[in-house]
Amino acid sequence: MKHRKNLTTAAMAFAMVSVSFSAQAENIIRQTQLGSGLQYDQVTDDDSGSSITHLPIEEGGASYGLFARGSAWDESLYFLDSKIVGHYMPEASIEITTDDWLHQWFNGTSVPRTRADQPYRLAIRVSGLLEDDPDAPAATKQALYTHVGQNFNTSYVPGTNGEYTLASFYLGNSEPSYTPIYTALTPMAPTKAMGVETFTVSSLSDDQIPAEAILAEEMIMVWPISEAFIQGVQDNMVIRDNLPDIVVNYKDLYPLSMTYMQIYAGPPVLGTVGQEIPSTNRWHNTTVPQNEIISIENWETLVPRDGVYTIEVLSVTPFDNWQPERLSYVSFEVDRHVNINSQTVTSEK
Amino acid sequence: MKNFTTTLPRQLLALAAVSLSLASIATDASAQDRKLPFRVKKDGSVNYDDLKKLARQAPSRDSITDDELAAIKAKHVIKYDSLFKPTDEDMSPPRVDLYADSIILSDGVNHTLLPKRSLVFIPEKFQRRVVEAPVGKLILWPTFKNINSSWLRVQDVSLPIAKGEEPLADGIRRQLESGFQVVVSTYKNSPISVMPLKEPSELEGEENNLRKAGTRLSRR
Repeated sequence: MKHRKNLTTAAMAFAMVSVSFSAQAENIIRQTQLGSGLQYDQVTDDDSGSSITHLPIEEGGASYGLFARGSAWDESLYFLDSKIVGHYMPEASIEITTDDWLHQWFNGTSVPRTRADQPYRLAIRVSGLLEDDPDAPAATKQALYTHVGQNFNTSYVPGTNGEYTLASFYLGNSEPSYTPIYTALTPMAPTKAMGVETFTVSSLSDDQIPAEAILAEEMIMVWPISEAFIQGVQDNMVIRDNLPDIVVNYKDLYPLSMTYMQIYAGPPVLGTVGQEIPSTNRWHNTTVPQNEIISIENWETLVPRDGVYTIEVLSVTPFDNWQPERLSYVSFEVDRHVNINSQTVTSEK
Repeated sequence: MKNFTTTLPRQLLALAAVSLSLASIATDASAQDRKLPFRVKKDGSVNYDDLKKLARQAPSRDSITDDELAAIKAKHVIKYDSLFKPTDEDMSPPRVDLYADSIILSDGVNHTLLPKRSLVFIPEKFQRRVVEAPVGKLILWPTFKNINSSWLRVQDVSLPIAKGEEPLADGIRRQLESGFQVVVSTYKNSPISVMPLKEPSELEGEENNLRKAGTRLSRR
């Protein structure tokens, strides 16, 4: 998200608000004069969404909020973006980088995402604060930095649990960056963190500018670590009769992932490349984690000889350089050899 | 001061371009330049053979456990430096809620959103059309106005009137108040707030602030 322009030579401006997105055909651009609170709405109904606002910007600056209605079946109103224009407005930017850059490439979203166990990079830049100007309004001498979290519920609907503050600071001109850092969401279990973190730099209110305004804001989606539960065979089980049907629950598959099962002879050894079990692979390129139930029946051809075998559930994600990660495994023995103890007795008469 | 624009030096007028956008990362050249682990077809689907090759690699690790992850996260908590001054209490970022920050006008079936203070006049019989919670579907203003033209009308106002620097002319106000329609203030066909009329002392103070701001800017 790009943010406010610093108009060092403009005490008053007419602003051209350019909106570019494709899906929504009806949008509201709400201009709010930060000093007085005066509001001005412009509705655009074209996809290019370019509009000239006729309302001059007051001394205190103005904020612009872009809201769009969903597509035909979705009539919710969504807040998409905001900008601040005015003199004495500091500039701020926040950048978050994760290893799942393909999410943004595939899905055309500006919100990066990661997984609960994966590091990411946070870079903050604040400039233009008038720290040494005694005449400058208080709100232009420092900004507010906040880091808030919001957990998703089990149906992955954002906004149901409310935001909670993870950190809040007053911040001057600075340009820090942090890496590696991990999600600070506070779930029941670290591996199941699921929600959104929001980093924000906002202006402070004062006598001249009574409204706080967002200077820069970036979010990161966090999804839980995948799991797999194998049912039908257990560790160290000896299978003497017919091979049992196996049911495997893939849970919380990462939205961009390939998950599959393999089998090999011998006890479990990480790094072994076995035979892929047919019809167990699931490729997902979507926006939220996925669950799948896999059923394996009539798998005699996978265990041609008696002995110890290992079945593994593996998942390939953008993390660890697309190297497969083992979610679960089970090792068992197939023993179909039948010993017939018998005795032959002959007698002569 | 009747109008901000007439009191400012010409050189202080500027054209500001503000771009509000949904970032389209899909066209981001820097992303495309990165090496993809698989081929992507024109329709956006992924080459399945390439995926299968990824799946033929040796697994490199087991999923991390809660205890292992907690230990790693404890070592990598963000350590804000001294430039970050803790707030006295936890603070939240400002949040945008258009519904909470608007007038919600309903025709009993659907609703629309308007800037606060944009209702110049509401006849007694239509007081209930201003609602606290949305009713039905959201219909954006231009369409809502057309659907409900029998009881809705607009009154274009000047900027000084909108900013509370000048009153709405008595004649116009009397005419509006003698009608039977809800009146929405507009500026160049778009709804706008009409701020409470300012006292002369307030106007004088604002003018002084502007002059000071202009002087300060010219020094920088």
